[in-house]
Amino acid sequence: MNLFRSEEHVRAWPRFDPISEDGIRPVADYATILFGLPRYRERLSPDYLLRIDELSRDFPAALARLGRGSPFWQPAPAA
Amino acid sequence: MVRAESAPDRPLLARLYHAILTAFVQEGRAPHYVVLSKQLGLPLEETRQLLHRLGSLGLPIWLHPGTDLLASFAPFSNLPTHYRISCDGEERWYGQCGLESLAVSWLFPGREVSINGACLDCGESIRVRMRDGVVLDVDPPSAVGHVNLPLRHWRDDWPAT
Repeated sequence: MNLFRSEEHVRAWPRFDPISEDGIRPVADYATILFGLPRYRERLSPDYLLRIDELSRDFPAALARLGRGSPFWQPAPAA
Repeated sequence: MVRAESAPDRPLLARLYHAILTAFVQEGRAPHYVVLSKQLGLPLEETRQLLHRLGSLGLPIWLHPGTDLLASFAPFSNLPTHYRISCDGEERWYGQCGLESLAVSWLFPGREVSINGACLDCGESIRVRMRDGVVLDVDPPSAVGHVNLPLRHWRDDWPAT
């Protein structure tokens, strides 16, 4: 998971996997849609690990929003 | 779901997690389990085993292979990465990856956090300034985040993700 100077720089990166085209998103989208979630905001709470599932409730919806329906953003099947 | 909810030792794991993250925020690095043992009032071996348990919960936390040493603890790295992080101008931290670095500002409420990265394509700088989760500035403005692995494979190998 990296930052690049532009979309073109991502595609020129020797390790770029073309299937990850939908993994390219604006920095602000990652910062607000994903890393703005309670799952990330509350990490310093003393009981964070006890509440992590509760804090992660909106995580799947955020991933879906970020993924915009792309199969690249489909979660792993439940075990 | 993270494998912490049902763990019988979850209160201890929660204390350990909090102690490590707090140390990272204050000192920029992870404490050794010997230090954590003393801090938490737990036997050494129990602390060592708890540390390994913490690394097996499915969170982006891992130890250096074959050791008892924390290598990475989201959103920070205990090893130098190309994501140097400063807070109010003081550079003391490394981000685990470019994206987790975007979560660091929550750990420094009210303060300006700067992520100073390098583009893996050209080596030129990328700078993101944030405060309380809000992006203040991105330089260059064209900078993007990128995930190279499909979501379903993230947990297969966190360091590769």
